[in-house]
Amino acid sequence: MTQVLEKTGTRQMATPEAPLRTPYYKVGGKEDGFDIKVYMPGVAKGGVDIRLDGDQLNIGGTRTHKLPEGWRAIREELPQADYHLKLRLNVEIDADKIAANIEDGVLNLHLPKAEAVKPRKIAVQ
Amino acid sequence: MKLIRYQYPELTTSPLGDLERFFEHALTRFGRWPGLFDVEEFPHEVAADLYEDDANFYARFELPGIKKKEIDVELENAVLTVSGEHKAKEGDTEKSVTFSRSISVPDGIDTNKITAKFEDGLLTVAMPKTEIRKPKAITIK
Repeated sequence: MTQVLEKTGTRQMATPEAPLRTPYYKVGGKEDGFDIKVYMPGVAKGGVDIRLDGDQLNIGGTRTHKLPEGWRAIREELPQADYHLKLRLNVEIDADKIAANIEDGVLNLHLPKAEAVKPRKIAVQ
Repeated sequence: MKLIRYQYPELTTSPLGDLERFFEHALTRFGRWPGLFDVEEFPHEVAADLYEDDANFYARFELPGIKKKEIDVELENAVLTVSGEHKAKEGDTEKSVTFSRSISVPDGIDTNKITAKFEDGLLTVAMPKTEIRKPKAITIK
């Protein structure tokens, strides 16, 4: 299923001033669309930005829980950067019907396939 | 009777030597994110960070998708353990995944005053330093 959505240079957007972290994600789906789970701990509802630009789906996650002032790192395993994920869709999506919700740092996205590409059952006359 | 000086096998100069080794070990074992999640549902290994300010040590764990009531936090002998069981629903089937992560924390923590908070997949454990560990300004008489 992962071949359906191809990951394309997700790090390209990162600049030295604002490094971005590519979140872990999972793609599942049924005949009528795709379900994507993006793991972005530290991001609340207001911090998610989803944009569909042609066949590119850009998912941005801004950390709601920034590191408080005065905290010094003793050990950091993962960067405290914001998230960015770029996915290339090779199936037409009905952009108006994209549904998204975020809960406990996991973004659930449903991308319904456009009517034109949905599988069709043809009745034999 | 012979007196033999004991050689510490991995003596580092850092005061947090043990702690660092612990993390080093943890990282080589678990690798970083992409590898961590090869397994079906989140999370088998949990990323952990350790911070401090003047009054507290803070441990942060990334637990996206986990519910607050599924998490257990325990501190024993300077080892902080976060563990739990996560029930994931996928379609009609329900799967259960257990997770556990331990980190060693510095000495000098007031164990009675530890607090934990879980928000948006991020668990923060605040461990107040005992009076001795807090920086003190000394006035010259």
